[in-house]
Amino acid sequence: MITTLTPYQIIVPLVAVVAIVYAWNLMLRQRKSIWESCLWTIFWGLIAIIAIEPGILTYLTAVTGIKSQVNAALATAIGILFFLIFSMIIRIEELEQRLTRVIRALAIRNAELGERHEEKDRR
Amino acid sequence: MTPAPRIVAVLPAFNEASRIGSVIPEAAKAVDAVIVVSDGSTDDTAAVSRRAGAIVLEHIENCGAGAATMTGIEAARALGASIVVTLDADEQHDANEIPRLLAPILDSSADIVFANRFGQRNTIPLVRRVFNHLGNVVTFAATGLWIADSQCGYKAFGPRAVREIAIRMSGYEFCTEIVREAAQRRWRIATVPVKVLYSAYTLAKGQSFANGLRTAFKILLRSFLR
Repeated sequence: MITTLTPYQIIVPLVAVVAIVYAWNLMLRQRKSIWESCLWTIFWGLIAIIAIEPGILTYLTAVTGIKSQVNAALATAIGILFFLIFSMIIRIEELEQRLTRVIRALAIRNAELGERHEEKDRR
Repeated sequence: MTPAPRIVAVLPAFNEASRIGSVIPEAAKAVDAVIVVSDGSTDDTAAVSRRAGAIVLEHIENCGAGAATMTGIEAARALGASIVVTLDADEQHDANEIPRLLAPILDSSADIVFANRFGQRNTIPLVRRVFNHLGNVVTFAATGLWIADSQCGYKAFGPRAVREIAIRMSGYEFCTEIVREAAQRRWRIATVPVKVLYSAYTLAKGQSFANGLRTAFKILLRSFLR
């Protein structure tokens, strides 16, 4: 049986594939663990499956009560807002990390450990 | 002949002037040098530590246990340390157990040694047991590695771990990050049961429930959005 795919059903799985390849690429470059890459694969895999086969959501519709398109749009908007908040939290955390790096570097510089090490070696 | 490894103890400390003075001499018996990182302390932690013979580094602001530990490890590297032991500055950990913690590293069977407060009979409050177990579950969810006491600050790092470790998380979540490092870099892991000495003082300084939740949230979020 041949079914016609909408552009949405083509683009979303493609994005998911790119995201999954990217996650495993990061893993190969040792910037992500296998575990994290697996989590990303499951996450994007589910999104791709739902995009291709929206019928799966019938179950969710029954559970959550999201029946109309307006409700679905609202739920999506909330999801996007959550993602934006998460991204901002990460940004704030990165700024905190920068500040921490400066404080740590200052502590090490002030302790003059290089000189202390050389002194110990001379002894 | 291979030179003997230089072993350094790292004590991250925040306002521990009343306790740290007794921890340093005990730790010094088992290591070549003791480094104290005073993490924005407003009391005499730094002065007391210097008097007790430790090398002191001072954070001008409180950054958290993770940041202080990483500063200590970096300082230890600068001093040429090949093995690093980290322990709490509040007398919670028995410094006399450092040799037991070092044994798996010295016999080259492990790159990192985690102390396990639940591996022997210890008087640990129920709330602490539950929190630590939750910490283990969160750590497992984020790293895929089960460590019996992932949130304990008492650890020993072998030469490979000292060379490779890079903690980026500043707060208490650094314990989970260390497990992540161990999993990702495929360090050989050993666990050693230790004694733990809880007092009203150490319990009061511990993490609150809200802080624990925040830590768990940060760990999961970071591991997912990394």
